[in-house]
Amino acid sequence: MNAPSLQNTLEDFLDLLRGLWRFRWPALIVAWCLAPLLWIGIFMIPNTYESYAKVFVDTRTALSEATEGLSIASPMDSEIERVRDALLGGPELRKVANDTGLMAGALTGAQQQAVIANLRKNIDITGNLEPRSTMALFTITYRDPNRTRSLQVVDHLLNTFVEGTLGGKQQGSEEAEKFLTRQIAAYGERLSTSEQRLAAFKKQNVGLLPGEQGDYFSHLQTSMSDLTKDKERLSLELRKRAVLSQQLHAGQQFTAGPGDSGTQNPAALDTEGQIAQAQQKLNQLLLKFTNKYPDVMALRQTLKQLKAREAAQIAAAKRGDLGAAAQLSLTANPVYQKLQEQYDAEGVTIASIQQEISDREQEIAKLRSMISTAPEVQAQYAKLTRDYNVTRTQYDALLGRLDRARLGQQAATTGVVKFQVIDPPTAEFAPVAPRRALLILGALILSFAVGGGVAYLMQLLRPVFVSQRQLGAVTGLPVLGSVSMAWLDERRSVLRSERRRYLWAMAGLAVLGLGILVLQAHIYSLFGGVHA
Amino acid sequence: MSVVEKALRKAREAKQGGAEPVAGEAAAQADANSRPSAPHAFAGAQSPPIVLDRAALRAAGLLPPVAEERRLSSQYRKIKRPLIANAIGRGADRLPNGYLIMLASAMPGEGKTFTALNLALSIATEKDFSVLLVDADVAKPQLSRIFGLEGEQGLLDVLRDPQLDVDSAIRPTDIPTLSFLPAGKSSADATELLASKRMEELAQRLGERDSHRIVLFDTPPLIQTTESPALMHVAGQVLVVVRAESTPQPVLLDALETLQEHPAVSLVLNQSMRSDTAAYYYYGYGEERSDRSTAPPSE
Ligand SMILES: Nc1ncnc2c1ncn2[C@@H]1O[C@H](COP(=O)(O)OP(=O)(O)OP(=O)(O)O)[C@@H](O)[C@H]1O
Ligand SMILES: [Mg+2]
Repeated sequence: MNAPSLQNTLEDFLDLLRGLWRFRWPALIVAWCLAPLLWIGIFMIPNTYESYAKVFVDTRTALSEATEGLSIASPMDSEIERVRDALLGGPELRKVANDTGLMAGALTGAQQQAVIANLRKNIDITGNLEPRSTMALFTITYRDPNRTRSLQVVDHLLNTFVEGTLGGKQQGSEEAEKFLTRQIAAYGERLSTSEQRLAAFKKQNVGLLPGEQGDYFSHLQTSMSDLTKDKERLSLELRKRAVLSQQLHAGQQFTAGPGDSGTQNPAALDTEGQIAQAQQKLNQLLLKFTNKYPDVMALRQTLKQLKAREAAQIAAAKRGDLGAAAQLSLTANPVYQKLQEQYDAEGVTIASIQQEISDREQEIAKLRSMISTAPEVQAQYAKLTRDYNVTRTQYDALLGRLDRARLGQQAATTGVVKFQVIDPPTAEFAPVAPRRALLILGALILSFAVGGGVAYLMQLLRPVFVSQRQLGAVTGLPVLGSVSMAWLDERRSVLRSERRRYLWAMAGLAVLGLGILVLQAHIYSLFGGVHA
Repeated sequence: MSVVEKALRKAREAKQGGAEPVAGEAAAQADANSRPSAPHAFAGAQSPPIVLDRAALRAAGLLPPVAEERRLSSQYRKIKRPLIANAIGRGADRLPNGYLIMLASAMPGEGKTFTALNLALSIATEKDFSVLLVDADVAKPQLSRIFGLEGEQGLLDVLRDPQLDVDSAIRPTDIPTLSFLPAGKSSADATELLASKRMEELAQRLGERDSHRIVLFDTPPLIQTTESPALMHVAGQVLVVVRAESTPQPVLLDALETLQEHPAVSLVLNQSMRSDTAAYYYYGYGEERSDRSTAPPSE
């Protein structure tokens, strides 16, 4: 069952080949037309040379030490990224492009941008990390139609890389320091804002905040008890003053006897001394208090009285009216004076206590009115305080780290070899792309294939009969037999020469292809004008 | 051994060997002799027999070269068997008018004439049968030309003149079992004549003469001419010659369309370039056996 069908397919296949063979010449002509076109196309593709350099780098830098524990991505990978970014950054590439003459033709910004983008596309930087170490092998690769330029670019990049790494020793720690300083500045700012916020809040909510006076309720309680105490004190003082006032009215009794009034001058002198004393005391008080201060006001009153009495005494003395002078000096009587003073002081005390009481009452009223907002304020306060504390801790930690970084930098600058150029910029003399030999061969094969395809299509469009079996299958009629071509022997020579010609034509194309393959370098240089 | 040689040998044997036939052939010979007419009987006595010049035929491209005779004759032998079976077979095998075989092709140059001659020679080697080869391709009477009978009395004359006996126009050849009817004098109404009712009658008559006679018509190509349909009605079998790797499939299918009504159309692939080794081996084997039966393997 299997064998005949297999044979049938084999026969079908042979029939197909025979059908294709009819169109061998068109097929070959197609191949002959197509292959040269493809080859020309292949030589239109510019050569690409590749140069590369290899550097061994120790990526352990101050940065990684200092930032250890900070939330920074895996330092190694980021290091490679950093190098790559640094080398492939716009400014760097622009420099490379300028130095290697790539920028020569680019006039507009867009063109320059394109040159840089192209440069970036053709540069390849790979870093191979040694597992569990800080070493990395960097390979810088660049592809360019111009071999010399490809070397120049890699050389340039390598220099930048090395310089970057050399500078990077300090730069690494400098950067760490910079980073930390930046962080610290940022945290400082945050700290001060939170501080300010806390202060403002405190000011706004005085008395409501837990502090030395305790929280709101204890504060209210103390205020109220203070009020009662103050009231008690006031009534006490009032009583005291009433007593003093009685004594003062009975002051006449203190009016000095004749013995006492024998000395005028002392009296006058006394008045004078008292003025001086009062004046001095007033001056002292004015240093600390304003004019409204009760003591100051009282003292001023006293001073005025003293001065009036002195003037009266002097006038009386001039008139020679000693009695009047004595009378006047009554007020200068020390006891009287003392009483007077005590009375005045009592007035002051009472006024201040009254002031205190009114203050306390106000405060209590305010506290009472705040009773609903108090818990909220306290919570807010707690939050602000916590914020502040956290920021503070961070800030302190950063400060400590900065110190450590500075220490680390000193350690780093003591000089460890951080990199080593393993392969200086190198480039093969043969271009890496396009793989022209392969393409030429491919084009040859493709051409033949397309020729075959054309033959196949023609065979489909103009089908004939090649076998008895096929004839029967197509017509559905009995086929009695087939008669083979006679004069094959004679024709064979013709056929053979035709076939020979055909094979020569085919081989010619193949040989042409191989010749092009062998001479590709020369042929490419013939196309030089196209690539320039 | 060539077909012509075989046919000639057979003729010689018939002439001298009537007295001492080979034992194996005796029955067949006797059978043949008992037919209403002997092979030579239908050839006009007055006409000199056509001498088949093998070299000239080869030069004209109508016979295969010597080196390939064996191969081609074996191929023709295979083709002729079913044709003969249909023509003279017994019972169901036999087709009405099966002995009238028309050789057709879709396009010119596919090998009708070549096939007609070679097939005729192949059939002629059969002792039981005689073959009449009719050149019905009046526009291009290639066979008549090669036999030097162009313009001689032939098919067209017989058709044109009802008084003329067809037997007088049939030429014997130096192979007794093979005779030939030339195309005849060409005229403007050749096509009409071939398509006429009389053509049908004539064809009928050609076969009726001898139950063991097979008539092969060499005809013009199907796609160009109008004669073929007329012949088609007469012929019991149509053998369409298809040139390998040349005749476009649609052209053949179109041509076959005109033969659609015919009950017995078969095909033969001509000028096949395929070297079918398995088939060749098989035919070769058949050929040797066949050779042994007709002649001692002298070569
Ligand atoms: N089997 C064959 N091997 C080699 N050549 C062949 C074969 N058959 C035919 N030919 C050649 O093909 C040509 C055409 O053959 P032929 O004249 O028999 O075709 P045809 O069908 O009779 O053509 P037409 O329609 O013109 O009469 C001749 O030159 C003949 O020699
Ligand atoms: Mg012909």
